[in-house]
Amino acid sequence: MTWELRDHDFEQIRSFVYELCGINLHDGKRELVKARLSKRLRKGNFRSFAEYYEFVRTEEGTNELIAMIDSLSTNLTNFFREEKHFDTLREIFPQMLETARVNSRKPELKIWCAGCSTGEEAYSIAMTVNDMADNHNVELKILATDISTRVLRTAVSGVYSQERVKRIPSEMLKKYFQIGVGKWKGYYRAKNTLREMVSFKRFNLMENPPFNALFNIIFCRNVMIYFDKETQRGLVERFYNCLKDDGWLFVGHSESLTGLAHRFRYVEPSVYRK
Amino acid sequence: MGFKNLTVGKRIAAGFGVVLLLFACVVGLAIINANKVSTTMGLSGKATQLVRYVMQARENEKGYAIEKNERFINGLDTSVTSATKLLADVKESSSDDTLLADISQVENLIKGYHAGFKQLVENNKKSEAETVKMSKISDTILSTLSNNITKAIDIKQNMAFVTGQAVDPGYMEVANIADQIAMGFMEARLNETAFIMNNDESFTKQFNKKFQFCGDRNKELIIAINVVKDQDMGKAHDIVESQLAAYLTSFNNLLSLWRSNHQISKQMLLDGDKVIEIANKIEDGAKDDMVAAKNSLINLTSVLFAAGIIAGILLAFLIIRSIAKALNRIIAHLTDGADQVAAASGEVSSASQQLAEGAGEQASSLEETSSSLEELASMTRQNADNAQQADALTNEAGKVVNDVNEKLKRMTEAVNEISRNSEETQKIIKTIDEIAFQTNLLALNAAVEAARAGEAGAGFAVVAEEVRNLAMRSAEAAKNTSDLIGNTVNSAKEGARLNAEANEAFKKNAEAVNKISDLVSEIAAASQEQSQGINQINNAVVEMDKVTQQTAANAEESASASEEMSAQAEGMKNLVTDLITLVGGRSNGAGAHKRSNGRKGLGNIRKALTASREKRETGLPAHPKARGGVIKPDEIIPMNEEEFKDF
Repeated sequence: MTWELRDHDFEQIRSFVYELCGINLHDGKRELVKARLSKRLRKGNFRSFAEYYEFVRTEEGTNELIAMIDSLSTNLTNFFREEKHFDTLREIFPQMLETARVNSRKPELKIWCAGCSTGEEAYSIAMTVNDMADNHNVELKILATDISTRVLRTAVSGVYSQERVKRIPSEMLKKYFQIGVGKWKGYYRAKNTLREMVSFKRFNLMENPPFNALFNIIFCRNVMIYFDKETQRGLVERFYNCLKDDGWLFVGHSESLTGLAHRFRYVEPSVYRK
Repeated sequence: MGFKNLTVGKRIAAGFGVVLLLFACVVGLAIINANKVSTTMGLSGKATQLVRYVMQARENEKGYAIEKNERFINGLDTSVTSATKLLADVKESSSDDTLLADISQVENLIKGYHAGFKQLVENNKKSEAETVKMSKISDTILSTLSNNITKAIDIKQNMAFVTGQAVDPGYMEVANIADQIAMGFMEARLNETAFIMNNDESFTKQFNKKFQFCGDRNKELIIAINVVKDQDMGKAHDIVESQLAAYLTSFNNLLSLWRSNHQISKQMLLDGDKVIEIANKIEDGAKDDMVAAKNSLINLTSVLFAAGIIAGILLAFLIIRSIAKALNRIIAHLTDGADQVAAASGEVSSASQQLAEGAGEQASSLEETSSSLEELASMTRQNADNAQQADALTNEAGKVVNDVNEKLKRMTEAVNEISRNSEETQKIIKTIDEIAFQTNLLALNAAVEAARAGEAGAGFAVVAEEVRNLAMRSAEAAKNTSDLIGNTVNSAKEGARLNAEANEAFKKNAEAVNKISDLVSEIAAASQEQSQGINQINNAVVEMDKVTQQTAANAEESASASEEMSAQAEGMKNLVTDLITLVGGRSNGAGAHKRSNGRKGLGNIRKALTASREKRETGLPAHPKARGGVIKPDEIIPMNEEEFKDF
């Protein structure tokens, strides 16, 4: 069964989603909206997009609203995606460890992985920094957030198929992952040590971060591409406020703060510092 | 075989048709036999009726025999008429020769009977007449004996008593004999009455004996009368004698009538018995016919029933077997089909899911690519803007460079001037240096002189020393200055050279700036083009995205459809199980499908189906995404540490 996505419906959904989570569904995303929400309509036996829209706006439609946002948010990710950032991280991190160790009695480093999707990025960061912090008495804390609860469930479980983990270097895979047996054959799961390093939370980047601690590094890659300039600017500003002095901001390789009014220092393409 | 091509309905109809035909036969037979029985029963009834008529006739006959009443004659006539009419009826409605013969016989018998009876009545009337006659005779005899003999003797005795004359003793003998005759006659009559009453001829012997006695006594009587010589009495004796003879004649008539009647009665009895016998025979025959009909009905019905049952069972067996065979074949095919459909739909389902996932992922990827491209496009636009600005700035820089070039030329002149002046100054310094050298020499000489002067020259020596120092410092300064000037000259030369070089460089710079300007223009243009190109790519990607999204959606749809199909196939399996249960009997996989390429027996299939159903019912908790029993591990969080192990 197919449903017709009328202009009016699309317009309503577009503005509602933009208001809610900043995702900019321009005209080119029409098919996306239609395709991804058709699934929801089918599941919930809705007769039309209008009916669906009315439903998600009601109190009882909250769960469906979350599911709708889950559907509309794109969750492309991979272990060690855009690898150059990890090289950069390896370059800058020892110095950060040293500084932290010298400057504090209870040294800790905080990394925020904003838009973590199914957790691959957060675990990639965790593995990378943990490898370097082995001999340092520095506590590493990684906060990973996403707006989609669906992806967060996968992220929390830390279970990935063989296909997904193939980009993890084998040494790392052996160190940080367990291999599934029986019905879990062909799957890998992040070990407790790795999972404990990362705490996953649902967070809408449109809101003001409620986290009281300041971060040393923020990864927010391939998230801003879904936002319009104004939303990007607000987000970058909030990131700035969440970072410690000299803190680092990593954005996606195709992203840039160019053209935005911001206070960051440019370090190299897609890498900025407060 | 034609039967095989018939539809189930036709097969069952044919089977039922055969059974119904047999049933119809049974019913037809029953009706025919019932009719027969009914006819026979009618006949039997008529035979009974005939017997009843005969009995009635007999009763009348007997009644008549006892009472001699006319109504019995009428009653008998009625019975005979009824019987005759009955016989005529039967005769009319029958075509059975034996029966007709019997009936003719009965008719004759009844005619005979009737005739006999009429004779009997006739005889009776005669007998009655005889009896009346005899009664009169008897009266005559007895009264004669009594009045003419006994009483006459009594009178004689009474007279004798009166007259005192003795009566001849012979009278006593006469009276005695007369009494004996009367007594004997009466005894004879008693016997006669007994004979008539008892209808027993044996009494006639006694009668005859008594009558003989009477005859004998009568002979003695005449002798005795002759003794007394009484003529009157002789006459009386003659009367008695004749009357006795008449009586005997009558009696003999009566006897012969009785005998005739007896004969007739006997014949009638025989006739009646014969009629009854024949009637009974007819009735028995009817009964036998009925029994025969019944037996034949029973036999035929039994045979037909047995045939019906056998045919029914056989046909049922055949039909059931043919249907079951066909059904089993269908079931086997259906089971295979359902299995295959289930398997296929499962595969389609999982393939569609994979496709859906893949398409979804691809769609995500494209969506991200598209979004990235948009970002890139905006950045490229930014670059183009920047390049334009840079171009403007470069133009500005070109102007500055030209300016600088001009100024550099003037500077070159100035430096040349400095160089020339420096050379002049160098010459002056050289002079100063020479002077300093001369002064030094002079100072040395003065020192030597002062030393020679000794103490007095000490002050001079100091002066000389100071002069020498000054000279040396002058020389030094001159040298330094010279060096400096040299340096300056060199610097100026260098400067000039550098200036020239700078000039050259600036020239080159100007060219470079021009080039830069050109390049930046190009960059700006390129960026513009790039931006357009990216836009085009983006459009393409957006198109791809659309298609992929649609593909993903379609794949989702087909996944859900195939899931539906899977469910349908499962449903079909269940239906097949029901069908197997319905067909039954083949649960151990015996029969057609077992023979056919060793397919799974239905029992096994059923077992498998039941097992799979049980599994479905008791297995893992149904997950919304767990389609067709495939649970994707990454959809639930494994709680059990044993499920994952270290490398």
